[in-house]
This record gives sequence, structure tokens and C-alpha cells, in this order.
Amino acid sequence: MAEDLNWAVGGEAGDGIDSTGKIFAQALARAGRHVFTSKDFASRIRGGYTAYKIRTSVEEVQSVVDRLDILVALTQRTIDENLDELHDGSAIIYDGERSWEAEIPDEMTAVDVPLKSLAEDAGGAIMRNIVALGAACEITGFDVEYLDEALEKRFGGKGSQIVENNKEAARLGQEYVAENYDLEHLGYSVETTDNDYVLLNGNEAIGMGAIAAGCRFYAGYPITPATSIMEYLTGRIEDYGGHVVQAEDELSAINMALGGARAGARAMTATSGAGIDLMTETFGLVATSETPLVIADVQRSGPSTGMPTKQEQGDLNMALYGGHGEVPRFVITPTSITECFWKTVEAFNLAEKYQTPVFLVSDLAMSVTEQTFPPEAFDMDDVEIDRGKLVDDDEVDEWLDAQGHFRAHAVTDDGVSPRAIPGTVDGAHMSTGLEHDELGRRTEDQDERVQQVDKRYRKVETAQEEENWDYREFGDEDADNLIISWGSNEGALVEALDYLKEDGIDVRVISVPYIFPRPDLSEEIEAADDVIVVECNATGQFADLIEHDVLTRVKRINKYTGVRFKADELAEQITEQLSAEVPA
Amino acid sequence: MSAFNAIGEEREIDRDEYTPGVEPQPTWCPGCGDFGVLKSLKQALPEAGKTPEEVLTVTGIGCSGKLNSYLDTYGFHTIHGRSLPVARAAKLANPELEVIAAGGDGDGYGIGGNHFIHTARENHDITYIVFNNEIFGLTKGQTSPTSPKGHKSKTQPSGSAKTPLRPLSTSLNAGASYIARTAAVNPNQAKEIIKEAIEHDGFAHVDFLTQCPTWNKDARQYVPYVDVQESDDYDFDVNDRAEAAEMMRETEDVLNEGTVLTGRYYVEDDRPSYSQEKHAVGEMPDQPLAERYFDDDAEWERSYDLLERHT
Ligand SMILES: Cc1ncc(C[n+]2csc(CCOP(=O)(O)OP(=O)(O)O)c2C)c(N)n1
Ligand code: SF4
Ligand SMILES: [Mg+2]
Repeated sequence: MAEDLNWAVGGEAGDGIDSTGKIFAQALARAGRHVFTSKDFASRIRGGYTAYKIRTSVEEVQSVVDRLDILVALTQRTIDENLDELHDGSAIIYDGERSWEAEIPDEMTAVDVPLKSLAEDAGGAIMRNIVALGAACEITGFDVEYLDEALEKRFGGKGSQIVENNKEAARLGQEYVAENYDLEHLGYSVETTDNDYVLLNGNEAIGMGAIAAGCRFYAGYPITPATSIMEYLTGRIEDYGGHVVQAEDELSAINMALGGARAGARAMTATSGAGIDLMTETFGLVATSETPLVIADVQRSGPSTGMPTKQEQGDLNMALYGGHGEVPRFVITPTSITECFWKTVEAFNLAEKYQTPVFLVSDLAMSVTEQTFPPEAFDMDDVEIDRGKLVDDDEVDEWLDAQGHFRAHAVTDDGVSPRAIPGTVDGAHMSTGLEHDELGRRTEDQDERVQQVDKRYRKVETAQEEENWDYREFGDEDADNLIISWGSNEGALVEALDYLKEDGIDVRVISVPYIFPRPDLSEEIEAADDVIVVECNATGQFADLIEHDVLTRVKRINKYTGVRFKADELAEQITEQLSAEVPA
Repeated sequence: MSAFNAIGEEREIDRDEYTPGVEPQPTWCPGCGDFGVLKSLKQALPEAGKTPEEVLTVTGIGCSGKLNSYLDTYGFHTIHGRSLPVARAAKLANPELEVIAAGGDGDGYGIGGNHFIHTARENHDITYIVFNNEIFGLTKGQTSPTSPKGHKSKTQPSGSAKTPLRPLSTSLNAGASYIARTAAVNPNQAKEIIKEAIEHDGFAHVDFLTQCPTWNKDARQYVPYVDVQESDDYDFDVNDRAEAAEMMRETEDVLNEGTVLTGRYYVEDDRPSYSQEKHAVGEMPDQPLAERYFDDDAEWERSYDLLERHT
């Protein structure tokens, strides 16, 4: 199991918690360490509590655990909120000169640092969090110099004096702890390596994937936690010849993305929660007009406004079935941050090859988590673009009927028709959400109707045969215990394997990134004694699908507290479920 | 790929090129005002030098939404109320296309009203024709946002309680830069106005009075009509926002009393479009978004820059 250190900074919204955490995460990544971050928002008590948590190790880390070693607490509430995770060996950095009296359990180590005064010494009280970072460096034996580059990155735009002041603040914090405390007995140390890592979150990976895949038009309407995709693209996509539009609502956003796609740009939109409800209106039009479109849903806790800053995987049924009538579509659910990148690229290719809507379903947990990866994990040379049956002026001729009309919805063996974008000579045609014939003329003719429905579903069949819909696999392939999951639970499950192994339990983990079409798991389920489906929702939407597919009951682990699975917690629940009865 | 060769073609354009071989005869009811819109477009587009294949016509749902089935261009028929987002995005993706959006009064002023306001506000360089028959035609005569107060229908048997929406004033307040009203019964003016709207740089909104003899029988046929530019009774400056506003208000007031005023109401020539504004600040590339595409030997190196920022 990874030798890990769990660190957090917490305070009130507006205390600069996020940027402080990110500076530390960047410094650790620069030092060749892996990091996996998570964010806490107000929960048990009302108000503006927020925390940025980092799990770091020289080995890969891909989950949070229920343990906090070092906490920078800017408020008492930060301590209270984390009592469950703090332990006897935890060190809590706080500012004893501040007005609040810190109540820290006796068995923990209280590290009182005059954050504000030291920050003032360095040039301004605003740098108190940086003083705390310096203090944390001393406790962990992490060279304060590693903070320097991260500080330059964060404050470089504000001038060299500000950067220097921040560096000084960090050093004052570090020196203060060195002079006033002897904390070696806590045993914290932070090993460094020569490895180079990139640090990014799931939404950045989706945005980067979109640009790499040649997306040139993004339309969206802000909603947590999807907004950061839009913010990532804004200011970047322009360098690659693209543009981002903020629409007046999600109805407009998806229709704008559709309009951009009709005109020939690779286009996408992204949303969450109530936004996907509004967009549902347009799913059918995208499908029947056979327009390539990528629709990302970064799931958050619902229904209605639900818990906007909380994790949930509750939109699976919506992605599969949303919209009236029968809407052919692909549903892809990236299982990790790197996969957010690769599946986005894949989504654009599938959308254009099969001229269908592609749902890219990620979730809040991945969107806010920053994780380190070797840069090779995002090898741009491996990005391929396939624009499918897009035809130009020359190729159009092959697709004209006897009267010279372009057959935009030509009935073909593979179901895929040619696509001519406006401006193409001889390609003019009609396209509509009404049922239509090959030329795009509306029709209610029974034969034509059946032909077009079949043709659209034949695209799905073709894709099912020609594309890869495999699952990802971890653990012991021959184990009798099979755990199945979709989306972001993969990391926690992979780490749970270590805990289970310690207890002598072997499991096979199947992590499914494709919900429709999806891999056939009959054999795998048949071969296992115990099958448990893990997901972050109350009703077990994926478990229902699996049961339907293989006609056997499965065990379920569901979490809908609004917090993602943690590796240690998951291991415990799996152990429990293994001895439970299969539901009748 | 050479996908855009139809754009900017210089040649004689025959009006008949706009009549599709597949559906030459519209299925609108005899006497329907919608024919007037189709006819004016078939005349105006060639006069504006546009070939069918550089035109994208985006429609909503309603009798009016059938327009592009009878007009041979690249046609896209959206869902109810959503023609404007599709149309303006297509224009952003390829500014060299001539983009025309069209739909009914219910489609554009009701269910799609929010898009109307925002498209006008952003001054997208497209033409928007609203077939205003003051009712829902396709669904058989229900009350629409422009139905006069007191207008009776199956859904409002005691007469509409609502004051009708003011299409021209709403458009002006929202920010359209070309606003006109014409009527199917006045084909010459209609053609001229549609042509001006197409040639206008910015959001051109034409409220097109289209009589519905089937479901709005007691309503006017929009005759006699008055052209406010031709009539000596009216004198205002179409470039002056305040004068335009007053003229619009009067036009909207008297319509329900049976006086049909038409013409150009507001023209603002120098207001930049959304696209121009974005271009000026470096957020809209020079090359059309739809055109700048990877060829087979794509230059992937540049994408590594993206990764650089995460180290
Ligand atoms: C979301 C939705 N709601 C309702 C309808 C039914 N519907 C179709 S057309 C229409 C109104 C059409 O009125 P208008 O926009 O004025 O067009 P017209 O037929 O008068 O040209 C309605 C309510 C629909 N197609 N979609
Ligand atoms: S119902 Fe009215 S609007 Fe529709 S086609 Fe007939 S006359 Fe025209
Ligand atoms: Mg109408």
C-alpha cells in the first residue's frame, strides 16, 4: 500500500483555501510526488466551511482515505468537521493569536504559529496561508524551496516583489516551527523523486481532450460542476481556431452547439443537474437530424437543485433514456481523469462517424479532483481524428438521386449516411426532427418510417461491431468475488484491493466506461460466486441494467451521502457484502 | 477538404433554383400569407446575389416552419422555438454562410421569446423572419402572444385576457439593429424589405404579417396597408431610436384597430455584431471555425502546449 501523507487546509469560503491547497499540490507534484486532491464544502454545520485536501505519495494515489495527518485550520470549524479523520499522530497548524480559542483534542499535536504576524513581517497579512504552508513543510521535512516554483506560477503575474514576499512568508513559517517545535517524533517525511508529472482535474482533462480532438465550438450555460470545462476552454480554444459561447440558457446552449455542428464545426456542450433536463428537449432532434454532437454531463447530486456541490452518479437513466421517443445514442462514462481526456477524444470521433449524440457522463468528484500523471498519459500523438462520412464537392456526386438531390439520410448497409455541410456544391438538403425520407423530406409513410428508424439503429449495431466497448479490469482475474463499477469509482476500488488483500480477500474489479453500448458481462458474472455493483446513487441504476442484461440478481453498494467513495470505506463495505445474502 | 466551394460563387442566379425539385408545391391552405414570405425570399435571395448552396435556412415548428421544405437551400427544421440558437451558432461557425431563421409568432415570441431577446441583444448577423398571423396556425387556431386582447379561440373562449406582445418595440428594446414590418399582401415591399434585411450587417428582424384565412377568419387580411415610408402622414427617422420607438408603438396600437402600418422602423448600421466584438478582443479567430480543420498531417505538436500549463 502506498506510504501516503494526508494534508488539508480548511477555513471559510473566501479564505483562499483553494489556491493555497493548489500551491501545495503543485509543489508536491514538482517534487516528483503523486497527489490526489479533494474538496470539502459546507456540510454538517451551516456556513461557509471549505477545505482542500491532498493525499500524496511517491506511488500513484487515486483515492481519498479516511485519515488526515496534517491540518492547517483557519477556523475551529475546520477542526470540528474533520475530527473523524484526525488521529493521535495528527498535527494541527493554527494561529493562536487569532481571536478564536482553538479546541484541539489532547492526543493531537497543536502547532500554534502566528500566521498573521509572520505574514505581516513578510509584507502583508494576506499571505498567512503561505506561512502555514511553510510550517507544513517543516513538519513533513519537505524542502520549502519546492514551494517557490508554485508561488512563481501563482503570483508571477503580480510582479516579482509579490513573489519574493510569498517566498519569504513560507520561510518564516518554516523557521518558526523549526525554532519552536520538535516534531520529529511524529515521524512525517516527504520523499522526493526526479519524476515529472502534470497535475490536472477531470474537467480540465475533458477540455483538453476537446481541443485535442478538434472541437471548435463550445456553447454552455454556467452550472456547477460543469462550468470549469467552459472556463478551461475560454482563453485556450481560440488559439486553436475555436470559440466559446455563453448562451442565455441550456435550451439555447445545446441548440447552439447543434447549430455549430450543422455548419461543420466539431461542437460540444456541457452541463449538470437541471441543465441536462433542459437539454433533454433537443436530444431527439440531434439524433433524427443525424448531427454529430458531444454532450457532457458532469453529474451532481439531484434531483431538482439537490446538493449542487456534492457527488452523485444519479443521471445514468437520464443519459440512457432521456427524451421522448426512442433516441439512438452512445453513453460513455470515463472512469478516471486520464480517461476523461481519452473518452472525450473518442466521443468526438464516435459522434462524427455515426452522426449521433454522444453523452459523456462524468461526475463532480472527478471534476474537482486534481491528480498527477506522467505527461505520457496524455500523448497527443495518439490522438486520431475521424470525421466519418463527411463528403466534399467531389464525393457529393456519389450520393445524389436520379434527379440530382443529395441523399442526406441515405439508407446504407452500415446505417451511416453521407454528410454535406452548408456551402458544399450540390449538397443542399433539408434536415428535420420530423420523420423523413432519404432526402430529408418529412414523411409518415410506414415503410419509410421503418427504414429510417432501422437505419439509425443500424448505426449503433455497426458501432457495436466495429468499435471497442471493453471494460477495464483490475485485481485478480480468477477471483470468485467480482466487483463491477462505472465512472469515477474506479480509483477508490483499485486502492480498496490493497486493503482487501491485507485481509486475505481476492477480488476482480471490472470498471465499465461504456454504458451504451456496453460490454456483455454474462461470462464474467457466471464465473463469479459473488457479484457486487458499486455506484454513487440510491437506487442502483447500473445494477438494474446488469441484472436486466444477465437475468441474475447482484449485490449492491450504494452511496448517496453526496461524498464519493473512499478506498478504506469501500474495502469495509465490500467485506460486509461478501458475507451478505444475495437479494431475493 | 474543399467543402465550401458554393460560397461566394459569382454567377447569374435564377429564381427557380430556389424551387426544390422534391417539393415544389407548398401544402399551406389556399390564401395563406405564408406563400408571401416564400415568394419574397425567392426573389430577394437571387437579387442579393446568393446561391442556394451558400444559404442556410433554419425554421421553427408551425405552419411557418415548413418554409424551408419549399425553398431549396441548406434547410434545418428545429424544434419549437429553437431556430435562433441554431441559426446564430451556424453563422458563428461559418460567417460566410447566409443564415436566415424563420418561424411563427408563437414560435418566436412565445416559446422561443428568450432566444429572440438575446439574439437581438447580441446582434448576430442573421435575418429573422417572424410569420405573424396572430394565432397558432398548425395546432388549429389557439391564442398566440400577438393575438389581440379579447380575441376568442377554443382555449380562450371568453377572449384573451392578455395584452398582445409588441414585436417591434420588444425587438428595439432587446437590441435588433434592423427592424421592419411587412405584409404578405404587399409583395413588392416584402421583397425589398427581405432583401434589405439579408444585406444588413447585424440582426435583422422582420415581423411579417401573414394572414391565416383558416383559423383567424375574423381577423384582418391586413388590407388596406400603409407604408410608413411612402405615406405623407408619417415622418420619422429610422436611424433615430426615440422616433423609431414612437412609430413602433403607434403601429402596434393601431393594428388592433384595423390600421395596418408597415415599413422600415429602425436601422442601425454601425453597431458591431457579437462576432465582430469577439473578433476585436481576439476571441474569435479570423478563419471560420468550421473551416480551420485538421488535414491528414495534422500538426499535433501544438496540443502539447496545453499540457505544459499543467506542469
Ligand atoms: C414543445 C412543443 N410544444 C407544443 C408544440 C405544438 N405546437 C406545434 S406548432 C405550435 C404553435 C404554432 O404557432 P406559431 O408559432 O404561431 O406558428 P404558425 O403555425 O402560426 O405558423 C404548437 C403549440 C410543439 N411542437 N412543441
Ligand atoms: S392554418 Fe393558417 S397559417 Fe396554417 S397553412 Fe393554413 S392558412 Fe396558413
Ligand atoms: Mg402563428
